[in-house]
Amino acid sequence: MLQTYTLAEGVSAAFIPTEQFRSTLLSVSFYFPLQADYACENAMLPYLLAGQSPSYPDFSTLNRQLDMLYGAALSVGTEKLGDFCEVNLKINAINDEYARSTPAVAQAATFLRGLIFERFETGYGFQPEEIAREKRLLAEAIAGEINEKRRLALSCCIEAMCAGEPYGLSRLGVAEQVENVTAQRLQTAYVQMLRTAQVQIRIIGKTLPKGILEEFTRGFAGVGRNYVPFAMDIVKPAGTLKQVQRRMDIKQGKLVLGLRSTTAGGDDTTLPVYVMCDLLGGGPYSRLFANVREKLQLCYYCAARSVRRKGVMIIDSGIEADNREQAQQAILAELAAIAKGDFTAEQLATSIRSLSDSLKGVKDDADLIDKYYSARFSDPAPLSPEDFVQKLQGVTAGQVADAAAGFGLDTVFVLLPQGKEVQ
Amino acid sequence: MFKAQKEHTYAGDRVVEYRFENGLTLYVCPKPGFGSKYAIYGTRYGSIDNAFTAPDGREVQVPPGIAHFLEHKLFESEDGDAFSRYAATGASANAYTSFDRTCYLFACSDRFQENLDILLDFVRHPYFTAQTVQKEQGIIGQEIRMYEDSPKWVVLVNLLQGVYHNHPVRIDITGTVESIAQITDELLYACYNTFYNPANMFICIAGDVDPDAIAQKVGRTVTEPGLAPVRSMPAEPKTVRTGDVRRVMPVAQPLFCLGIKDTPNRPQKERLAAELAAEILFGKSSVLYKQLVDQALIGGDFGTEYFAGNGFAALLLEGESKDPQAVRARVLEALSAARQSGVDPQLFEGARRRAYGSAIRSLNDVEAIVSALVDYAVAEEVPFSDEELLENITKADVDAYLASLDITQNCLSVISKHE
Repeated sequence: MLQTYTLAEGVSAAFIPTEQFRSTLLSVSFYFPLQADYACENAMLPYLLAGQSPSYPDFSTLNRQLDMLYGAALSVGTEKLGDFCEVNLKINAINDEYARSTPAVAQAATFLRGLIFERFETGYGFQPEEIAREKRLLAEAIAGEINEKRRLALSCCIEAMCAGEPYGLSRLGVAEQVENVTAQRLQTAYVQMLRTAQVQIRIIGKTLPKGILEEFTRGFAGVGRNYVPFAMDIVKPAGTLKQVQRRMDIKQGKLVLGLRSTTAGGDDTTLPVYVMCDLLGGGPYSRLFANVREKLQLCYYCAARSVRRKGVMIIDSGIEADNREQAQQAILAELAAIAKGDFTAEQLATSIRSLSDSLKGVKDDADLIDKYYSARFSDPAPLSPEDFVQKLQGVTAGQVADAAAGFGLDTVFVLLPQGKEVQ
Repeated sequence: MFKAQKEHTYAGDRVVEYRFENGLTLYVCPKPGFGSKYAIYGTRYGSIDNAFTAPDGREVQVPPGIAHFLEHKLFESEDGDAFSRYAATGASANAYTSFDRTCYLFACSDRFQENLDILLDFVRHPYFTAQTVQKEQGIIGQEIRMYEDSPKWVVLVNLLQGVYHNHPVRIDITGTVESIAQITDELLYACYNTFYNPANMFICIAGDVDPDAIAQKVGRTVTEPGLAPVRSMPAEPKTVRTGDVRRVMPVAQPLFCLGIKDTPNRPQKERLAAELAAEILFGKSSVLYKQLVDQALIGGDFGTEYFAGNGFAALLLEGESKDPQAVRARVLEALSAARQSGVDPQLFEGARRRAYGSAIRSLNDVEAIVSALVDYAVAEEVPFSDEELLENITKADVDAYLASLDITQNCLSVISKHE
């Protein structure tokens, strides 16, 4: 059973006790609205914090300490959650009964706390060589987005569909802004994050590491918290259709449809959308896989996913360029069919069964537990995976049809091989 | 019904091993209290098995991509497909083909026995016709084109083509659009009948399950007689075919894959020593890693792997760099220095601790457990034997491995936007 604690204004901790794992995961997430102005700094922050600290002033020393904690797995990053940015640092260390000479969990927790707070507490700031390193790596990451074509096409569609909204921003920032990053701007972003972000600490394991809540409470007490709850995500219906095309030297085209509805928010509101999305384009039993891929052979992959905070649904597919129009029509025909209620009770039951089965497995994976609750950071009383499964059973065919009917096509993005004219 | 039953234990977990009279291997790792179950039914057959003696004595040479093609087709039957059957139970099912294995899997929380029945059934009942083969050629053609756009995949395929003269590991797993056009239902049956034989297959399961009950079911169900396949592998010289392979693709900065060709089929302890050596010399705690990052020669995605299977082995280093040739030079310098003076003892201890911690953490996850059991099954090694060897491996073992590695036999594959 989840145990929650309030450590400061806007800072909460959740301990999810479980006897199942041989290690303990400690995950710290900072949530704040995505903003264009400091996007690069926010993208760099977790990597800077995890690269060195006053106690471990270079990268190798820091990683050797992790080695001595039996390879405690430190991972950091930035994600988009709707209009919000999540900066996350987490560490996973083996439990003390397996740590032969060095109790790893408590030391790993203190280590992570140090990475987050020590720079502030000691006035260490951000050093020239680490800034130069991370600016280069960020510039390379931004430029390298063209390497993964599926992800590139998804990003391009979202940026076009949500232009002017935080969700339409790149989580890494843009290449032209990287050069503007300075020690001063990084310090501003770092202090702003410590003071004003909504913070969630999640601990998943057998026991709560002794003293860790007190250590984080002390840390946040010292930064001068100034938390004001944020406005929720921008939700709007589909606008005038936007069609965006890009060409590259590629063999397989990508077609991405961005759809919008005004049904958005927490699990209770969006459950039917979640089920509808799976029925439409979830697994190999879904309408898009069975019909658009298998029957009509118009794509290699075709999947749908919903962004519940935004009321957005994205359908992405890998296509032959010549099939682009047919594929788009076939995909929208499947959505229209579901909106008319043209699906069987068994098809609905299949989606609910599949989703339920997956959700029941969340409790067996510490990273999945972490991601599950992180996605619900702004829900005042998030449903547990078990409660979510219970609620899924009550979703009706009528609700699913209404969910489909609520979506309108907003943006079409297509990535095409060079020299392919599209009618 | 069983020829042998053994138990292997590590860190409070156990794997029960069953060997059936027809040669089938079953590994079950019971995980009391876990809701998730994960199962793989696999064969020691992959893209490298392109020449063999069929059960009727014919010598057969098959087109590239057929193992992967067969994997796609096996889901189909005269009455429908296996995905529809799994849809009725709620399981999540998939399959994959690699160089030396093909695996069919499901993950579920509920109705494990039904899902196991489905798995044991469809994998053992192939159904190939000229019509269904033709249909799949279109779908797999699209998959091939998708991979052809992936520089991370292409840089590896090119590397293998540069390292190997003859060994079929140099062939792309999916084949080409042209090669899969040569696949027929007769060829698919020839491959199936040769390699999808209990003597060549394994089942690996982890979750809150009863090992003996599973073994009883498997023993009652998989009753086909065993016949080990006869494979044909060409002779492969110790030298690399070429030292450099280049390709132009739309990438931001060059991707590279450096491969140092190694003696194939090393004993297990030497393979572990190789993995530790890679971590010590090129992992995030290493001197070289920091130098390469500080000198802007590598990015955040730099990684190493000991890549090995039947008749092939190489130490691989991959990443992005503005100057891959400089990275190669620095890597070879670091290897030379380590061959002269041995690895740093503190870094050795750190790497060993890291490997131990990773082994413990992997016991948290049914999918990771099954993945490890599959590796053991393919290599015909004992479950948890890597972990046991790790307890006793020494710096001298790692130094000895490095001394035996011929670092002159290396190939650098580069993808860049210009020649």
